[in-house]
Amino acid sequence: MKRCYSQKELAILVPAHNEGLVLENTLKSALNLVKRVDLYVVDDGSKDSTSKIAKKVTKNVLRLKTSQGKANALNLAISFFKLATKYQYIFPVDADTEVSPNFLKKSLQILKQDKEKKYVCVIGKVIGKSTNWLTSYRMWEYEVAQLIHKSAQAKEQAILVCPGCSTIYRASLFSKIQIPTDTVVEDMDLTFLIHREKLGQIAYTNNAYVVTQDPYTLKDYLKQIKRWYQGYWQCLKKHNVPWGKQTLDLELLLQTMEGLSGGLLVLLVLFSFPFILYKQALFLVIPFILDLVLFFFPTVFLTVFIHSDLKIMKYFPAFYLIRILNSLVFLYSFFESIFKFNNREWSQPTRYEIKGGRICMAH
Amino acid sequence: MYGSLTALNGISFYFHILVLIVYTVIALVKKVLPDEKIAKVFKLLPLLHNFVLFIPAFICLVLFV
Repeated sequence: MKRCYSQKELAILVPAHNEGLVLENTLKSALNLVKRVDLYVVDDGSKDSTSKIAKKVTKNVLRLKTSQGKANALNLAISFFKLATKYQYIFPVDADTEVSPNFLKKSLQILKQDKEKKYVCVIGKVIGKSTNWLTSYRMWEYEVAQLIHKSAQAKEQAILVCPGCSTIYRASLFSKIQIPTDTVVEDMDLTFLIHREKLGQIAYTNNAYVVTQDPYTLKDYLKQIKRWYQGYWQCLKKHNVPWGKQTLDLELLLQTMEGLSGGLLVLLVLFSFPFILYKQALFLVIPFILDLVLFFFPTVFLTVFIHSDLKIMKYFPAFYLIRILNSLVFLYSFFESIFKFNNREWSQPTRYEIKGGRICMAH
Repeated sequence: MYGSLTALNGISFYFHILVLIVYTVIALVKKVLPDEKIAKVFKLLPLLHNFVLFIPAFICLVLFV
């Protein structure tokens, strides 16, 4: 006999793999939003104290003996706890993410007011913490990418990615599909799937935010963007971009071509730098000044203003280096994707906690 | 990756600012004018939007090739 549930409102589901250092803060911030009974943790084969910490906070802990990967772990937990039928909304929260107290109020408001249920999920804003040059750069990148790009993409109905740490889904979505497991960027893959299967629209709000932990070392940063870009190319191939006849295809065509042109331009300038400097210095100076005045400085200043954090300005010159690195990694990942597809390697970035303004590393 | 790819952001940055301005103007017009008068125009909007989106995408394509 089929069991009938009276649907509860929202479940928070936290996938965790060796997240002993940061999990407690995440679960504490989650408890400000839901009751213990609505908080779920799936321990994806951790070898540290992850399960122990989770069990102190909630009874709803699913421990997987071996690591299955984030997407598989989420699918198993949704199925094991029957979340798709028990709840109206599911909010997967990464173990390194702190959710702001107003997040649910602001984002659920959009889903509740949507009587026709045209929206299948709502994305909130992701912000980082400024601790060094890399994390400050990421704060700037988040502001540009979300305030300008993502806000416009939401209007176009061509959002490229529902971030794994800041998206609330209608639970019914997971009765229809599972989170894809065959790429290294399950959140982008799921977003493309929502577009392709026409499962509903995606809403974005700047008014609700989560705070996430970004890579602190250059090695971790490069690993992360390499994985993101690898995943990007995997998703393009998998979802037959740009032949899907959707606005998403045009948006991706724009982003891809701009990324590739940017990478090639950087390579060109790097290789011909001494020659250009000697013969045509203006060729370098004019675009540099235009970029600085029209784009870079105003957006960095906006980030400083939004976060009231002057420290970001201190790292301003280093941002150029990271922008160049990003372009080169994107170009590299393009050529890599042509030669191999099934690269599913993922390694966890070094976790850290901030105590009294100091960084305490996990290892 | 939360919206843009490499933070070079040249053409897509300005294109997206333009999109935001256009949609803000549309929202203002919708407040002022009755729906039935402008409904036909807004039916064409996705088509128009895709056409306009094609232009920067094409420019980037040309730059790349």
